[in-house]
Amino acid sequence: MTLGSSLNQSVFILVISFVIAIGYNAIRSDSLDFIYVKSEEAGVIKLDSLLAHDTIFIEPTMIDGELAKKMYDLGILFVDAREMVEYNEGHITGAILGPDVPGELTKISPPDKPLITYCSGGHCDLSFELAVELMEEYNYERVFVYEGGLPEWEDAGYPVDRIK
Amino acid sequence: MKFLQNKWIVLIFRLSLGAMFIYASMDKINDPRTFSGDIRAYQIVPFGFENFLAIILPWLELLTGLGLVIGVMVEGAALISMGLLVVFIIAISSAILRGFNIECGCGLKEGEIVGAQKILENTIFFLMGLCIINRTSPKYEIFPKSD
Repeated sequence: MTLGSSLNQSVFILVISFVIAIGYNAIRSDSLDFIYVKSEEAGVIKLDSLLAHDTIFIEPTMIDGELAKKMYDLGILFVDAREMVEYNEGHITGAILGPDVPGELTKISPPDKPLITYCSGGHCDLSFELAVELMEEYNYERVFVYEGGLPEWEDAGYPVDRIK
Repeated sequence: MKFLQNKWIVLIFRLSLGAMFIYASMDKINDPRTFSGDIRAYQIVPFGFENFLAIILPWLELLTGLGLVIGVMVEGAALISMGLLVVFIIAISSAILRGFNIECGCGLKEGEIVGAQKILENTIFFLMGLCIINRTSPKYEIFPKSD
């Protein structure tokens, strides 16, 4: 290849640019992936549609830690479905203890507001049972169940309160 | 338009076009993430290739600009710059036609919004490239060496 013609020169400049650009991207500390993945955006869209008033749920919706944290940041109420002793030992900051009679919750948070229930994660069903009861018996419109529960929340380093 | 063939005029075009590309590449090389976001706003690049473009384009602009200013492979650099400018003109036009009020991402001024003015600017730069490539008497070129 001679570098006489303008086309050959262009190809040469193009190739050199590619090599330098990819090399520089590889060594820089904040290098970019070649392909952009819209994970963050997708999460936001999902969150918006979950909380939209015209989205109708007939049963509780399971959410993961990422969504739970986003809802937490939006100030949505968390309800601890476990016993008072466990709640006192540690609970998500700002979460309230699920009342003995779930209906009492309506005084704190009306049924048209979203709620998130959680318990100890893993095999714990309390959060799901409370969520079903709130939706079926007390007409709560949107109850989310944070599957990972307190253990996952703590592991992620999110805020936890204890009552001594 | 014979004066556009004047070797001094062509030299001025070379330096202007080259300097513009070098300057435009700086912020993008420093912060390809922001540039990728600017490209994404055009909603024109498929399959998440915005990042790839954001990595490659700034360096292509820098080398093209350096080539024009220093006088290395001037014809090739002029051809690439014209190609890039055509792509920019198409992208900006399509954004305007779709009613997007987005940041240009041109790298010349912070927060510049796409508009007819950007198309005019790019067209002028394109015509400079055309004059450079059609020059009859190269001046101050290192490789290939001019008189």
